[in-house]
Amino acid sequence: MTLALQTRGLRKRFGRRVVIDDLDLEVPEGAVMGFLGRNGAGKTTTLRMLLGIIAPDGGEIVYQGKAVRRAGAKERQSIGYVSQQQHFHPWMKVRSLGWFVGSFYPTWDSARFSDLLKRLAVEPTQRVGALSGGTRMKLALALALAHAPPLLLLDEPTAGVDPVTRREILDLLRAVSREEGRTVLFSTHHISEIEAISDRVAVLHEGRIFWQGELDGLAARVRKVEGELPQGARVLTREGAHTLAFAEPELWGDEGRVSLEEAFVAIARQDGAP
Amino acid sequence: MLLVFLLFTSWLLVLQRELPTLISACSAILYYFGPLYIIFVNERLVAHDALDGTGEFLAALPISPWKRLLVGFCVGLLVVGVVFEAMLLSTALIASRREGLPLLWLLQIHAQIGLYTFGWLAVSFGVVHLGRFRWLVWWLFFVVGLELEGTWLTAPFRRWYWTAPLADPLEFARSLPPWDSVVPVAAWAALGLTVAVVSRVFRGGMVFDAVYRPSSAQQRATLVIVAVLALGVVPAFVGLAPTPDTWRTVAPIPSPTARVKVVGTELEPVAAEVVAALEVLSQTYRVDRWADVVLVSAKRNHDPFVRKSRGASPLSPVLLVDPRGPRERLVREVVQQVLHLQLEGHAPDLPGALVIVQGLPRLDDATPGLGDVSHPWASRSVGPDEAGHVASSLLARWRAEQPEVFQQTLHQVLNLHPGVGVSGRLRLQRATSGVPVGTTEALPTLPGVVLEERLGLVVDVPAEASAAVLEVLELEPLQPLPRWSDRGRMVPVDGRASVPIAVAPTEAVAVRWTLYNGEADVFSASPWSIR
Repeated sequence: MTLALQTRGLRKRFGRRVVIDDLDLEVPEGAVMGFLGRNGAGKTTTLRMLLGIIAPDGGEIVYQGKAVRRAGAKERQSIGYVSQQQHFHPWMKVRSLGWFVGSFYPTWDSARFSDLLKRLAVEPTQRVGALSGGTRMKLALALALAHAPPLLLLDEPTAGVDPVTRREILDLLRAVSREEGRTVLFSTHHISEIEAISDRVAVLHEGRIFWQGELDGLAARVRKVEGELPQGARVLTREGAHTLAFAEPELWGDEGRVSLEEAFVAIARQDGAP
Repeated sequence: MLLVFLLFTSWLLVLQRELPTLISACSAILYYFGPLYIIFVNERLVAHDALDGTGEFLAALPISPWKRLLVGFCVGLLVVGVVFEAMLLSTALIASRREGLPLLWLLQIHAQIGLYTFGWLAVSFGVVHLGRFRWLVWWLFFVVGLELEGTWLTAPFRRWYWTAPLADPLEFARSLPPWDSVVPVAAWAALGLTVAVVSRVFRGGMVFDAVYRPSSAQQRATLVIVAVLALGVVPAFVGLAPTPDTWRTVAPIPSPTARVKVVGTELEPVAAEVVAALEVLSQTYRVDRWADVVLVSAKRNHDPFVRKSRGASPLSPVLLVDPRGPRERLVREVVQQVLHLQLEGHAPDLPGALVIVQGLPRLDDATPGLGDVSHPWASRSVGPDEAGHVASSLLARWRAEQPEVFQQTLHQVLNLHPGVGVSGRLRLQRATSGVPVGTTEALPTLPGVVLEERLGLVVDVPAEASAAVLEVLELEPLQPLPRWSDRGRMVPVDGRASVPIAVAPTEAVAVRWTLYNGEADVFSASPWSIR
């Protein structure tokens, strides 16, 4: 498995608060990886470190097999990034913003940018300040894709958009992944989005990767148990008569299966009870 | 807003009255308001982007932090430069038509404002990279720094303080080459840019991220408390200032009655001769103690920052001396200055000094207005008045030896004379064009005065000035340096074609026509003529 992106022992603290602690993340080439975690788990911080917007306190990041302490301008040229909130210069028009952003990327394709704008129904002559939040998100996605980057980092790209726009964005991501073979790492709160377009998932819990792997693997490892736990299982939560626990799939039988959402909620709310 | 408008308008009116030319007024506006505009531009380019999230969008682009920093600074420089240049050049265009504008002066103003702008831009660029601490830094710079400056930063160190190269040129160095400001401005600019680089580049902009992270109420309260505490603590430091007079530490050249200090070795020979000359005068005129002076080379320190600090002791006035002139002239000028200082009454401030020049009360009686009548030495009654004799004889000798220089000095003194006032100063500057500043369409333009020496002095009166008054200035008789009388004599023309004026044949006088209302408001005046 060739990795498009990997982190080794990545750490970040803000003041005394440790936000990311020894993060080991692996994103295979061509994969669409969902990045799950509660609010404040450190998803945005991780993505910002992967892009080099902020510097990690420790650890390293491996891009296409090359280890760096922090992503520089060269690495950023091969990454498409969509942040959680879009803050472009409001006085610019969409087309001139494309011209401005494109001047930083040698692989920028103006025709592709125009096609993306058309596909996402963004008017190129409009001022950025006049665009709605959803349209700005679509514009950000078009900007991130127009230079055909091999790696896309998306920070909750569907947050705050209407269902139609959400569908358009997901369709576009699915297309660029499957048809163009691009690697996508995107964070989200919506399990359904991950189920819709991801083939892998990484769960971030309290600054560490709780689990990462195939999409089916996560639900297969969490079971609802009523009675004695098998050897090696780890309790996530106790809810009344039953327990939600985490273990290797071979330890479980067929009963007590949970959905991906239930598994994530159990991980996110785990109280560490024995 | 109305109050601000009224304040601004009144300020502009003051500016118009105080500053003689349009270009001076323009450069004054740039000096005063330029920094505010520069801070505004940097706030918009750096702080605004960081606070509204646009900074993150730019940070995600494939451009190094160094380049981003450089682009930010250059954009600021461009924006400020274009605005300032437009103001200066448009004013210069108007000024060149209205009052004439020498190209060299324009270039000089450009160089000075360019330096000033660059320094401010770099300092402001550094400060704006301090995020939520930036207002505290401005507060400390402006309020606390200025408070301490007067007591802790004395010359020559004061010229390294940030307000010296960045704020003082307006008052003092406007007509001087700006090169002395280059090093201090460069140092401050380097400091500002270093702060920006450290904030933006060090460990991936960790500092910048930290200082622009939303602050808690507790953090904001801490900043306010620090600012208030700083304001409260400052007066204690002002009181602890070691000495207000930097020159006190300079060793004087040993002499029984004169104390002449020299900064640097260049002027030591001059100082030694000055001391010797003063010693001779002491013996001849029974002077117990001369006013202390410090000689500083005007060649190396030709800007005003070598002057004494505010509140410094009057015991050691600083004389700027250009060592490039002939030794004899230098010595004579310094001795004249010491005499002048003596007559102005600095020396009696010396604790325990016995005296001074004998017979000063008589001098005061003879020349009302000379010096401060409430000064201690004015009430002493000892001996004959010989101080005036010293001054007058030196003056007479100078006039005999160097008539051209003397005449030139008379012009200069007239230009700076407080009794002449703004109207006279303005009109003098425009004397070449022949248009008095006070002239309006309702009043006639007066020609220059024609002086003829016939049995004393007769002034020819042009027909259109028959209703005017002749204003006559004479030299103060007892001054060591040329100094015009504070109040001019007013001689009504009363329709006469020529007016005789009673002056001694050798007396220097300045005469002009004025149309005035009898309350010192000059409506129109001709150029001064000096005999």
